[in-house]
Order: sequence, then structure tokens, then C-alpha cells
Amino acid sequence: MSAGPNNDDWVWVANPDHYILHEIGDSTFAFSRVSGTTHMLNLVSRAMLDYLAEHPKTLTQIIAGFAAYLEVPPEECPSGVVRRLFGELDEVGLVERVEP
Amino acid sequence: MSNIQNKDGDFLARRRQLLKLGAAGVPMVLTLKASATQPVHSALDCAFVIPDEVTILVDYDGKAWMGDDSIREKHGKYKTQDIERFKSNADYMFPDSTVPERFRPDECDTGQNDANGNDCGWGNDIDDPVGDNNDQDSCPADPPRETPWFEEEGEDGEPGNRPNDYSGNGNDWRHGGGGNGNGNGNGNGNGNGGWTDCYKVYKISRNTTITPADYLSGNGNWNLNGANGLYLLLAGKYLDTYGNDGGFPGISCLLSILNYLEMQ
Repeated sequence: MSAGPNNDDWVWVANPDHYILHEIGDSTFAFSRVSGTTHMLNLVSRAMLDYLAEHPKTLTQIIAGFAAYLEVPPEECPSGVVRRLFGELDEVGLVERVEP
Repeated sequence: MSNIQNKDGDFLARRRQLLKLGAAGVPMVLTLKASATQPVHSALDCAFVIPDEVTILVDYDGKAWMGDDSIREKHGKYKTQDIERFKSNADYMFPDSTVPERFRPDECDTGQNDANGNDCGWGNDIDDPVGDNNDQDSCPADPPRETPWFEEEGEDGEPGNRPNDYSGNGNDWRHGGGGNGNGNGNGNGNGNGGWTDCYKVYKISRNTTITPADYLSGNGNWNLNGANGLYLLLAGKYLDTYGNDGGFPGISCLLSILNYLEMQ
């Protein structure tokens, strides 16, 4: 399901049962059991995947909390970047919308 | 939480650096393609918008200049004075042979004083700064010789050794025609020099969206055409020379695709 248009009532999660991770150095290869495709994540997108796997969140919560999760100042993690990062994971099917 | 979150300072620094790249538009997720003929890749989906109108000037030797000045055109020829001004003010310059022949002018008239002798070609050689034009007053000065591409060309980097350029006797037909014209001062009525067909001009409108993947064939080869294709070609050359310094619109997007292709 696409991340946009979005609705603030929608909650999103990355379900570890739906993918297999394999780390090589700073890169993580994520094989999606759902789509059968493999995606290469860097440290930032991997962090987002882990962040989304913690528990379901709305996009607003995702945007508000990701900088702290990364342990960087908010100005280094603009909302547009978080939104796009989330969108990239959603686009390849690693993020799922779930019932609140 | 993954053990990748067990981080030290170096790990955090690397991640922050990646975050900056993300802010610059570099995709953070790459999808490995399913087959050699079916590239499915999120990095290939990137696109960029040209913020302001871009004009690309290409000469017969494959040099290119990129900028935002206007160049008057009449019957397939371009105003020599505008050409010189454009070169002087160009934002980016690319050396000989950068542009493939298919983007270059089809022909190049020798320009024997087609504007009543008011020839504003690059007729000035190094040893004779004033050249032998008789109509210097109505002509712009030669472009600066310390342009970056100048030093990059030729075996020994000496501008004077470049063929068809400043080492000549003022008759460099590829740059505006015979500098030994009689220059009778009549010009074309406005003193703005002649017209030349030794260049080709490409324009890209403001807010044009370029999706590099549109110019990739199924087997990963580039198929560049038109003004947008030329822009991508020059962006690639810029990337080769200067790297991803962020100053050239679209570089980050193009880099992500090139990186992806290199991994295949």
C-alpha cells in the first residue's frame, strides 16, 4: 500500500516475519518474502526499518521520532527526508499498513 | 532492535553522513533487479527538476557551454556576439570532444564575412592580442584564456597548441569566420557582429523534470537524445571530473543510478 496520500489515523509497521535480513558491512540486504525481491539498505534506511519494526506508528509519529532514534539533532533529519525514506521502504513493500 | 544499533562514534558519523546524502536526494534503498532485461530499481526512479531555464551551446569540436543567457537565432544561425557573451558568462564549460557528433552542428559555414565584413570571430591569437580584425570596437573581447578546460586539453596544456583555436592567424573558421575580413564598420546596422552556424543551441525550460531512467535501455545502456539527453550526458561528464559536489542540478540522482549500474 502506498504511503501517499496518507492519513494521520493510519499506522504503519515493518513486520520482521515478512523479510529476511543479511548484513554485509554497513549494508543490509533485505529479502522480502512478500514480493520475492531483494533490497539493499544503507545505515539510514536500515535504521528506519528497525524503527518501524519496533511497533506500529502513524506517519506523524514516525517523522517526530526518527531523529531521536538516530540520535541526531532534528535539524539534521528534516521531515521531508524522513517522509521520503519512509516512502522508499513503503514503495518496495517493506512497510505495511496495519489496523490501529 | 538490531545489533546494528549497537553503535560507536564512527558508526554514528557514517550514518549521519548518509543522512546528509539522503537530504541531498540520494535514494536510501536500492532494489536489485530481477533480470538483465528487467531493471526494477528504486534508484532508477529518481528524477530532478531543472530550477531555471538552461541553455547549452555546442560547437563543431564538441565543446559545450551551459548557462542561462539568451542567444539570438535567425535562419539557423546564431548571433556571434551573443555566442561570445554566452561563453564568457557560462556556468559550466566542457572541453573538446565532450559532446558526441550527433549533438554538434551539422555544418559549419566558413563564415567569410557574411555580415558585411563585420566579423567578430575569435581572430586574436596569443602573440597578437589585438588580432587583425579591423572592427574590434564592435566586437566583444576574446574569451578568457584561463578557462578550466583550456588547461585540460592538449598534450602539454598549452592553449597555443590547440587545433582550430587561439593559435591561429585569426582565420579560425570554426569560431566565427575569417578574422581578416575587411571589417568596413558598416556591420549589419547595429554593430552587433555577424551570424554563425558553427554552433548548435539546446534549451531546457524552467521546471522541466528529467528522469534519467527514461534514457536507460533494458540492458542498462544509455540512450541519450534531445536537450534533456544532452544535459544528462554533460552531467555525467561533470560527475567524472568534479564528483558529486552538489552544484550541478541532478547530479545526486544521476550518481545513484551510475552507482547502481556499477554494482550490476
